Amino acid sequence: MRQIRNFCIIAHIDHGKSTLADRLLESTNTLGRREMRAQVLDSMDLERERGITIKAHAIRMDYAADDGTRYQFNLIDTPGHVDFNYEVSRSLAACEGALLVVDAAQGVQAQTMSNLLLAMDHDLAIIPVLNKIDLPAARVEEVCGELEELLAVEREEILAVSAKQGLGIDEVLEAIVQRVPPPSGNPDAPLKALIFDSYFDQYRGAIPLVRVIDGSLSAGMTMRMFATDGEYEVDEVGLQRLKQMKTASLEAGEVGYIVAGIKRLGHARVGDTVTSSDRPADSPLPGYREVKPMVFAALFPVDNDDYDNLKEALERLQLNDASLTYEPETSTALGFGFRCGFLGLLHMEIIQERLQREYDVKILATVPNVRYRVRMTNGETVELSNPSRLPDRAAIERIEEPFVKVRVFVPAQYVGAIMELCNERRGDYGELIYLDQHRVELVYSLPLAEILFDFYDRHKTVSRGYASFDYDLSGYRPGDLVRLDILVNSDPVDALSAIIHRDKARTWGMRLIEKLKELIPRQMFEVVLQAAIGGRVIGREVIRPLRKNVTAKCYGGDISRKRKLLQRQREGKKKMKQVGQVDIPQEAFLAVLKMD
Amino acid sequence: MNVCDGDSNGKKNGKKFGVYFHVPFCRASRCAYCDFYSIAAGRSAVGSWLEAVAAECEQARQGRFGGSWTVSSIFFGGGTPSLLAPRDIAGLLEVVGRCWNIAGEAEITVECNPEDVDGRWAGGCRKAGVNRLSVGVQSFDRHYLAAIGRRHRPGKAARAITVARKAGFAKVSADLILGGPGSSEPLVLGSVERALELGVEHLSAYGYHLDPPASGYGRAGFGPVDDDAWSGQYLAVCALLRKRGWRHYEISNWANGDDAQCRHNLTYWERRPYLGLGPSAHSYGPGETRTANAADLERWLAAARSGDFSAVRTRETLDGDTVACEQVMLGLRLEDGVPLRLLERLHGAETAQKLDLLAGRSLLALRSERVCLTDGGFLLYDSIAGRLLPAG
Ligand SMILES: Nc1nc2c(ncn2[C@@H]2O[C@H](COP(=O)(O)OP(=O)(O)OP(=O)(O)O)[C@@H](O)[C@H]2O)c(=O)[nH]1
Ligand code: SF4
Ligand SMILES: [Mg+2]
Repeated sequence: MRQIRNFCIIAHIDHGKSTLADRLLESTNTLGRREMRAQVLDSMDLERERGITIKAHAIRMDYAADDGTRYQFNLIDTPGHVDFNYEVSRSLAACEGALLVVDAAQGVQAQTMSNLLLAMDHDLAIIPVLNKIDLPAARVEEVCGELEELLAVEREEILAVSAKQGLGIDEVLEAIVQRVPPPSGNPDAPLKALIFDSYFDQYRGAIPLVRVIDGSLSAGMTMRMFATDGEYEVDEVGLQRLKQMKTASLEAGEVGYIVAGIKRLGHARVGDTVTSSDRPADSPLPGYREVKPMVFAALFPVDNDDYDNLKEALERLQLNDASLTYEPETSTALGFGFRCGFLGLLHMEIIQERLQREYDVKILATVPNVRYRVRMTNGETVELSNPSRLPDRAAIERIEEPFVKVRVFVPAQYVGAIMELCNERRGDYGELIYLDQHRVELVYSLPLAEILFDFYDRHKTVSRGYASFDYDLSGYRPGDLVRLDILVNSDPVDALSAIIHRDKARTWGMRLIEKLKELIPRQMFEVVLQAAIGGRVIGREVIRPLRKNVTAKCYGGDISRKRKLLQRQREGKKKMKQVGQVDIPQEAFLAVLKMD
Repeated sequence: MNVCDGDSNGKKNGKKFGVYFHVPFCRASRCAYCDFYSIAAGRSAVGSWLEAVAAECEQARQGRFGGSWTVSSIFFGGGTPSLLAPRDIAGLLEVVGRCWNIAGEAEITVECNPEDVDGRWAGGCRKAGVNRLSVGVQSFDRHYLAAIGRRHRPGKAARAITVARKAGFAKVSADLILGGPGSSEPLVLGSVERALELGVEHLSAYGYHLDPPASGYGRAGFGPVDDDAWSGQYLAVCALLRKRGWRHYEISNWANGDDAQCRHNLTYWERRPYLGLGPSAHSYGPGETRTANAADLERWLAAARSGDFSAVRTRETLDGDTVACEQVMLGLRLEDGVPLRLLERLHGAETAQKLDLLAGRSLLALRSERVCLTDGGFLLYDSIAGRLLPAG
């Protein structure tokens, strides 16, 4: 156990975590030349296409240190984007140390801070790594200064590297040996292993990834899950290389996977503790804090027959992404689906993509929204993530919306622009902290709904890419919020309802019906589109009825051609969603998502 | 008394069928809106076509239409069938007559271009046994004719009709085109009136429509008028002919009296058997089979030389659902519509709701247990048929 080092790599997005992992894997000869490629741990197609890490990836390495000893390294590469923060916090619990990577050109950014704080919460040994020193724009001296100031690290502790060019990698490996403490579990105590990730394998069932804290795990023994009482005989244990590698056992301090034919997915729950049935531990490990989804949207199968597939896909995806939540929802316009909770819009987008790619379920999503708190006149409080469920106006005393504390890291010359942006978004100024003479940290209180949508892009634009931000839920506050409904021939389209600030409701409503007018094809009869705020109609568009839809040319005896044309037309119609008698194409629902 | 069900009709009246000849030739250049199969070859290939089409006819006699069938109608369509000399037509009618019994009252139609119709040609056709001419008038307006790319002068069309009458044709039909570039309601009504003056007793008014195969597709100046103008023209024609007491017996066909209806075309819509001969011709034969010849003269001629048409023919056997589909889609084109019973069988409990919605908007009416489209309904034929087809 003294030769084991468990650590993760954390950083702000794009600061080079996965590239650094490449170099470590190379230097330890973990991967053959042919297996190697840039950001090799980003193995999902989506990660490669977008050039970002979405999932934390664990991998085992063997390192022959300068002192002549062989060490077992368990590395976890983590994502940098805020939306995948839960991946980071889960990984930390499996480690004793963290490489905190900072881009030498960009310096300390918002997620550098938040990830550092997370790591400190877990009492991890922190190794600051200044990356990208090869860049012409690298500000090695200045950024080292920031690290000393902001992270309270000693100058001598900072390792300067170029992950891209492979500079300074040996020093990183040695630092891991020397500064990350070995795991401190008890190999002879009853088994305790923390499930920090899981995934579903079609042939072998749910496969938990665990960090063994005490005791050991091997094939043939019977294990028990603390939270769910699931009991299984262990078929196989092993460690994570690029592929899985079967081993005889997983010992205290080690990281690896368990195959036990787990068919009930709930039994491989992330955060649960695995123990042995013969000699159970008396208490579980602390596990994880419950994730709080930030954004909600309902997902419906494009093809109603796909409901069960969608359900199964969500269940399996949740196993692999514990930050996803879902519950059944019924819409009169879109049928049966699920209201899902996500950590952010990127997370939502990724989940949708994964559902389509990995599970082949085509879906339609509603406009995302936050979770509101409705204070009723009868004293009750209702939490609500589906706008169309908003109770009758008369019964509502007030609606409250979630607020977040936002910290923006920004060069001093862009402070004005960022403040303007925050004010525009109904923000309350908090404080302004000078980090050094060039950079400030700006603290604002903002409605979560205002930062979810295009705040990310806007803050980058107004700061020419230099600002970064991070946020935490800070509580609920009353807002002048109204429900906006869209009616099609007087039938409300529940999937298009939104809760929105009064000042913005009118514009949003008008634009929405204009857009729908473009996208809904003319029908056999007139279609009236209306936008209504709290039941009062504020805008109206009319789609004139189709005057003519006939190609009655006599095709001689060619009956089949005409029949096929009509049948194709009908197939097209089947793909539309019906609201009353009106056929609404799927694109209309999708286009709403693209409005800003 | 249109009966939609081919089979029962067949049994009642013995085995009758229609014969269609596809004459795939046109004059020097093709019309810009046309997507019928034809080649601008004039008469050069007529000789080999005549031989091949006779061979195809005789094969059908040996095969699908073997046994005791009676020919109830013959139709020469195209292309430009008036490129054929009367003796060519006579020859083919003889071939048909050798193969089957031609009913005494059989309707025998030739489609013709106004330019081709002179006294000799019309007289010759009449002598050969043709008893109906369908004249491709398109319009009596010179500018409109030019805009849709027809070469003939309007005077020619009027003359063609008069000549046909003189030659002894009791049945003359005029084809008109609605909604083409530059058309208007007065202009179209003018042509209808002119045709009536000339004494035709059958009119077809087809909507100008460009599909990708047509050479005018997507070209500036060739597009139809907008949907509102189009519908206006159609409804005006419907109203005028109704006032004159004509029957609007099919979506784009009108007849002055029951006898004047085109029996051959009704064969298609009422799902009675027909034999199509020539490239791109379609047949509907016993056992619910539909076959189609490839739209390719060269390949079809080669097939004829080899004596095996199967290489240029595709075949489809219709299952019950497809039959129902056809019954609905074809029936809705007709004045008499489709039996309510059929729709109820297809849509069960939802039938009433579906029909009420359409009836409420005056798109269809229920007449003696049959569901029939109104004029407004015909304008939305594709949408309505789409709704009433059996769910697939
Ligand atoms: N010049 C230079 N570029 C680097 C270096 N390290 C990484 N990069 C580049 O920085 C970009 C981001 O690198 P990644 O390794 O994907 O960064 P990451 O931190 O894993 O990103 P996320 O996982 O999405 O948060 C890539 O284009 C890398 O090629 C370096 O040392 N020098
Ligand atoms: S419209 Fe008639 S004449 Fe013109 S190309 Fe077509 S088939 Fe030939
Ligand atoms: Mg990465």
